[in-house]
Parts: sequence; C-alpha cells; structure tokens
Amino acid sequence: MSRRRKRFADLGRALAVAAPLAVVGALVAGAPAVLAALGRPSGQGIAGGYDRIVDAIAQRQWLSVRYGANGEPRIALRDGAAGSDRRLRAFVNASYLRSDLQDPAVWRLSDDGQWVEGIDPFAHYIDRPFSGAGAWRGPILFRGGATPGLRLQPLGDPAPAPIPLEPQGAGAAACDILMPTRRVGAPGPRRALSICLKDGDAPPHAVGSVILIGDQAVVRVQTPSILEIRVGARDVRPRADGDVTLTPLPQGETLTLRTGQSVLRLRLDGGAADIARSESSGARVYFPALQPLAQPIERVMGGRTSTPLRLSLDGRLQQVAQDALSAGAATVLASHPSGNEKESSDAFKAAVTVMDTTTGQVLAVASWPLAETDLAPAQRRTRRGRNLLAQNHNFERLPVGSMAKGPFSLAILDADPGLATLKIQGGATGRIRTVLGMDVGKGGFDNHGLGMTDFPTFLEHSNNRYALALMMLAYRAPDAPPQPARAQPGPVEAWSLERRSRTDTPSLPVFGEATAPGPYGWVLRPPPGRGPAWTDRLARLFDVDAGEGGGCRYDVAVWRGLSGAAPPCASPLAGASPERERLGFDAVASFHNDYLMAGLGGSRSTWSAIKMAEVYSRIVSGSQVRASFAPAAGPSVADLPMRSPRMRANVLDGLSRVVTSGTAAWLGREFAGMGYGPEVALYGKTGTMKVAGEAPGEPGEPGAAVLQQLARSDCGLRWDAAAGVLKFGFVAPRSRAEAARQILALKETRCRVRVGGRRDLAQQAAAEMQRYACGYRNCQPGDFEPEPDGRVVSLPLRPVEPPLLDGHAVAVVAVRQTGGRPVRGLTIVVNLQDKRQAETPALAVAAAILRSPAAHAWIAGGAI
Amino acid sequence: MSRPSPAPTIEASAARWLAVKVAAGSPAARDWPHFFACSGLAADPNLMRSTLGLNGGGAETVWRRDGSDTPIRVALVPIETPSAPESDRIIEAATRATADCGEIP
Repeated sequence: MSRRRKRFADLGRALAVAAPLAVVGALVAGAPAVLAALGRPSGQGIAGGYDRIVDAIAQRQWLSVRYGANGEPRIALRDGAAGSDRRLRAFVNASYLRSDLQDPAVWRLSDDGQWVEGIDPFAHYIDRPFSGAGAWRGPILFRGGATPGLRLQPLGDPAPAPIPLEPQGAGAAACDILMPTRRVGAPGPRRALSICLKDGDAPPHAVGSVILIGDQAVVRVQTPSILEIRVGARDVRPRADGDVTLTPLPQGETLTLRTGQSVLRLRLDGGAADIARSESSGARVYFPALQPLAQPIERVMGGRTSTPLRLSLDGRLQQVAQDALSAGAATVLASHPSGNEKESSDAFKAAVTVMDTTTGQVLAVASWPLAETDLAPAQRRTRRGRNLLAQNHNFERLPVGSMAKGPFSLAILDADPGLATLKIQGGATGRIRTVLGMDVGKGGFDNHGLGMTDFPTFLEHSNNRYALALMMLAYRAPDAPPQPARAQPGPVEAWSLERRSRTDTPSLPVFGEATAPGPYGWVLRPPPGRGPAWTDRLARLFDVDAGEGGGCRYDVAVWRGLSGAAPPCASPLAGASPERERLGFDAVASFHNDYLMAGLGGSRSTWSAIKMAEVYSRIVSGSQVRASFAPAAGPSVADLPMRSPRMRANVLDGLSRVVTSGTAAWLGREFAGMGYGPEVALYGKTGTMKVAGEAPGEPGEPGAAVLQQLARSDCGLRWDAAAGVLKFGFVAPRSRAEAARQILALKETRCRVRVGGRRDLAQQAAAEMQRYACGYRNCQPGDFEPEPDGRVVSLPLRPVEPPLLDGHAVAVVAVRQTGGRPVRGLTIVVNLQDKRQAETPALAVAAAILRSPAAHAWIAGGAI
Repeated sequence: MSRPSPAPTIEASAARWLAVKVAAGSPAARDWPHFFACSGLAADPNLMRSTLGLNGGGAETVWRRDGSDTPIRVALVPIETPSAPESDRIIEAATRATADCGEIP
C-alpha cells in the first residue's frame, strides 16, 4: 500500500471512531438543552438525556457482555480503540455509567444475551414520592361493577372451599368453626361465623366469632379460654372474664386457632380493592401483581390532579385469575416427585391474561410468583430471583410452544388457501427428521404420532410434522408452472394436496440447486432473500412484527385510550406495555432454527400473554380487536383483513376439536359441566415448550463462585499433596465440616467479606473443595495447577447451564354467539414456564377461571 | 411539618376504632339498631354507646339514603364520648332487632 493511501486509510479509521465520539461529546454537552427541549428540566425525574447517550453508545457496540461463573452478565467497555478513548472514559467516570456498568440489571440485552441494546429507561427514574412535590396520588380503580367479595379461606393442602362473607349473608349458626376437631362448615355466604371449643366431655361452647361489620371483618372474642386465638402474631384473647375484644382482621391476614397440637389457620382474602391507592400515611398500596402496571401510570400522571383513574381490569376476574394461577403454580411445585428440595421449590414465571374477546379490553393480568415466600431460599438471594417478583410476566415475551400454530396456520391458509386440503401421515412419536421426503436437518424435531392427518386434525392433536409440512409448502407458488417431480428417498410416504394423491417430494425453492436427495431426504438450502408470502399475512392479520423491524420495542398502543392517541415509544407507559414480538422471518440465518422451529413455537417465537390473547380473540371473533387497558370499549372494530375469509372456518374447526377430543379435551369436558348454555362455544389451543430455567445451575454453584474468589484473592487456599485435598491453613481438612470451619476462620478482611460469616455459603464452598479432593498421596486433579509453593490462586470456571424446563400453556376462548356472530366472550391465555411432572396444569388454571361466577357474569353480559 | 393523620390504622396494635363502609341495602344499613344487631355488636352496650358517640351521637341522618355506602366509625374498645339522649333508646332497640338479623354467639 502506498504511503498516501495508507494515510487516508488511517484517517478513515480515526474518523470512524472520532465521529461518533464527537456526537456523544456533543450530546453530553448539550444534554441540558436537549432535556429542556423535551419539556423536562435536567436533573429531575427521568434521566432521558443520559439514556439517549448511553443507548447511542450501546448501539455502536462499544459495550460488551461477558458472563461470569454464576451466569450473571457483566457489562464493560469493549476493548479496542473506542473503549480506550479518553473522552468516552471521561464520560463514564462523570456520569451514571460508571455505576451502571457494575449493575447488569439496568441493561436491556438482546434476545440471545450477547449484545447490549441500551439502558432500562427507568433505571434512573427517581420515584416521585421521594423526589418532592408533584407526585400523583390518585387512586387507580378497577372497571365498574362488583368488587371481589371478602372470604375466609381455611388454609390446607388441598385448600378447603372458602367461606364468602357478605352483608346480606346468613347470621352465625351454632359452632361454624369447631376446635380442636378443626371442623369448618358454612354452606353459602355468611355475615358471621361462630368459633367454638369442645373441652373434655362438656358440650362445645362459643368462645368467639368472626363478624362482618360494614365492609370489614372483625374477630370478636368474649371468653378467655385455652383456645389460643391469634390475628397475625397477636394473641387477641381477653384478659379477664366478662371482657370482650374486637380485633380487625385485615385482608391477607391470618386467623390462627390453636389448642394443644390442633391448629387451624384461616386467611381473609379479597374485599373491595383498588389497583393502587394512597394511604393516609402517604404509602402507596397496590393490588397483588399490579404494581408493575400501576407505577408507570403514576409517572405519566405526575403533576396532574389526583382524580381517580379507571382501567379496563375487572377486580373480580383479576382476583379469580390470581387465585387460579397461584393454585396452578402450587400444583406444579407439588408435582415434583424426586424429593429434590431445591428444584421442587424453585419459582418460575407464570402469567394469565383474561381479555374481552369482542373488544380486546384486558380484564385481568395475573402473575406469579407474587411474594418472596413464593421463591426458593436460594432464589431470594439472587437478582434473577428477585426480578421474578418485580415483573408482571404478562408483559414480557415468553416461549409459547404450539400456541403459535393457531396464528401461523391461519396466515398460511390466508396466503395460500389451497394448503387447507393438505393431508399427510402424522408420523411416529419421538424425534424424527423427514417430512414429505424433505430432510429438516440434523436436530430433527419432536413429534406425537398420528395417522393420516388433515388440517383440523393437525390443530386438534398439535401435530408437528404437519406443521412443518405447512411451513415448507408455504414456500410454493401456486400459479407457477409445474416442475419436474422429485422422487422421495424411501420409505415413500403418500400424501395429498388439492385432492390429488402424491408420493413425490414437492418442488419448492427451499431446495436451492439440489439435484439429488441426501440420505435422509432432500436437503433444504433455501436461497437467501426469498421468504414465503405468508409472513406478510401474519403481520397484517395480527399486527405482529414478523421481521426484526423497527418501531417501538413495547406496544404502547394498549394505552391509547388513556389520552386519546397512542403514547410515544419513550413514554413511561412503555414500562406497562407488552413487549412486542420480533419473529425475525426476514432474517433467517438457520432455516431449521429460525424458520421451522419458530413454526412449532420454539426459537424466536416468543409472545407476550397479552398479545397471544389478542391473537386468539381475533381468530375467534374474526375482527381486528386490539388489546387495550382503556375502561370504555373503542369504536366498533373492523373485520380481519383476510384475503380468504372462509379459511378462518378451518382454523376454528381445529380449535374447537382441541377442546372436544384433542389436547385440551379435559377442559372441554369440565366446561360442559359449568352451566354455560349451548350458545356459548369453546375454542382452545395448547402449547408445551422447552424453557431455559431461571434458576442458575447446581446447588453448589454459589459455593464454587466463593471458592474461586477466595483463590483469586490469595486467601491461603493450598493443595495438600500428602492428603490430596484443598485446604486453608496448615492442616488438611478431613471432612466438609472441617473445611467449612477453615473458611469461616479466615482472618483477612478481603477474604472475610467474600463469605460474610455465612455458614451456608462456607459449607457450599467446602463442598466445592471436596469436589477436587482425590484423597491419596501425590494425586493431583488435572483441572488446576498449584503454584510451586502449593498455593492455588485460580480454579477453573465450570460452565453453568440453566436447566431446561418443560412449560405448559393454553389459549382458550369461550364466546357467546347470536346468529353465528360472537357477542360476548372471554379469552384466557395461561402460560406456565414450568410444569414439572404435572400433566396439563394450564388447563386447570383456565378451568378455574371459567368456572368462576365472575366469568359467568362476564359472558352472560351481567358485568359492566 | 405535616400534621399526623387522626385516622387510626387497623394494623396498629392499639387501634381504638375502625372505619367501615356499610353497603346500601344491606340489613345493617336500615338504622342504628339494625346496624348493631346485624353486625354482632348488640351484646356490647359499652361499645354501642361509644360507637354512637363517634358518629354524631346516634343521629339517623348519618345514614345515606342515596344508594351509596355509609361510612361508620366502630368503637373497638369503650371510648369516653359525650352521651346522647338517643343512645339508650337505640341500645334497647338493638337487642330487639336481633330477631331480624339473628344472634351472634
């Protein structure tokens, strides 16, 4: 290269780095002006200017993500010219970025976790109650109509039926609650319940009661007795004969009755409630699971008058859905037969969306886990575990499995109606890799065996082989001139399309230039840039991003009813909006992983429960309903823009068969006994999916991290060649307990802070030490190398892979029809990201919601 | 400095009274005697007297007749309140009104 050209190349490289840095510098310098232009004084509320600069830095890929041994990401400036730039480093040191780089939780990472996309827009939001005046303190209310009633729930496994407490209910009968036999009986709603004690041979006598005064439950105790009566932790028995105590029983509080070994606990659930309200103390109180929804609204309303704000959520359905989801999660946790304490108590993501089928109004967004007690002890200590509580999982994209087949197949048929006539052999059960003589690749796919399968039967039994045949035939051009037949390599399977029986492999562009099949069939080599037409139909029919397109990351349009128009992408309401799907069909790198597996609901096919509810509402109602949190239904919705409207009947036939004789037949049988009339039809689609677990690795994993830190900090970890063990100090530990004692006895501060005096952590690190022990003279594990003086200053990182869990999901639509048109309905999407050994737990959750009086009232049209 | 709220919170261990809302149309919302009888308070004259004292001395006008819920303060312990002339009549009628609501053991 000539000197002159080299100088230009150097200049070009320098400009490539310096120009964006200059932009960043300009943004930093102009941040106050930018913020002022945004109508927000700098240094108050949302750090929008900072976010923009940091997003710009992230988008230029000047940040890198690396993963530690415990699976936690570490964000850092990328090595190289940009990362070592003096001005960028100065910005890091002078801004939030310095501390943000230490906190992986404030970053938005790409789906594969390898790239930093930007900073969480609320990472530096200072909550209004603590930032001075202007905080919005108004109540956020459920939609009009009856609020969930109070009920006394006896605790147990399984939980007995709750006793509704209503002002119109019956008065107390003799001994509704009897101790020590723990009998609780109350048919129908009550206004009061008596508490009796049977002491010896004497007849039972009343010692107290639970009474409803107005809208509050109160425990009244009129006799001191040996029956211990506690509200929460407080003993509420009167001190002397003749005294009477009245003690309020708050919602969620437990009444405990105890005599000797006999204990009965009853919890007060439900009651009139708001989504959010301020107490006289100034504290904000939120309905369970709805804090992540309410807080962004409060940010948007900041500075306005505190008049009540009403949302579309229905209080009774929210309570019912939350109860059903919690019960479903308990069923899953109890299903683990291995007795592995850690695994059996690990919480997982679970969500339920309930939506009005005909308007798209969101009626309930139940989420689990709810409280720290729902987490396993190890999860409570990790940020990942705490994040499970901080989010409402209806708003994030989750794997949905075969639930995706509903919208995908409707879009495929709409693009190419002739495919509705496809019939193929459903194939065997297990892992298979050929479809119609086509080799789907080494990984193959899981399949449930089925005989000759037509379109409705495919949905009914969720046949993967048929789904893949559809996904590949969707590449055909129906009007193209016939191509020469490609022979199937044996064994030849018969199939039919457009009533023509065939035994060949269809001619499709997905084979590229191949002229002969491989050992497993025709190898797929789709030419780049030629995607099938149906993904456009998918985008049109369901307003879903079938590609990797731009636009808002969150579907803020669900809040368009709040101010009349859809809020901007950067609105704080993004925090209470479902994450938008990005199916990536315009960027298929691996045909097997990115296209075919997405058709089975894997890979990039992750959907929020809210969007999935909207999709199934559209399929069943045939109209373009949009998910919305606005309390009033919008103007009448247009019909689905289908090219071939009659294709919807094929999909509805399949979805109806799912709950009649298919994968959700149990739900259909239950539904038949729920008292809905013949005018209420039920549709559904199930999904089972593989989910990367939230819990990091093995039980000893925190111990491994601590031991590595102790080694790195040169805390005295040595290899004892004579005993063949790791040790701290001079003496080789002979047991795990001795090793733990050595760890707890470390003197240097830099070492003590690693363990923090925690015995459990020391024991886990000691267990990790024992993993390396070979236990005889002069043995030496091969995975680390001691220093010449015996010190061990580095231990290998063991890869920590998240456990692969089986999840279960279902979308159900119960719709009342008049003259063939749906007039009122409920769409329920249940997504449990783990099912352990439970068979079909999502169906039980959906059944519990459909069985509730609230669901009956909604479908009947009784609710507002 | 902001004034502390006079309202007791039900979480407080020494709550002395409790604010409740009585649903319009419920038996307890008919009048004061029925409120006491249907709430299970008719057996406690001292609490009834205190409750009346916390609510305008037992005036019938506190009851909302427009279909909305009536907020009532209920004494959880005997509270010294000015005695009202209607109190004795209401307390005596409350014991009779239990026939409409059923006795609370």
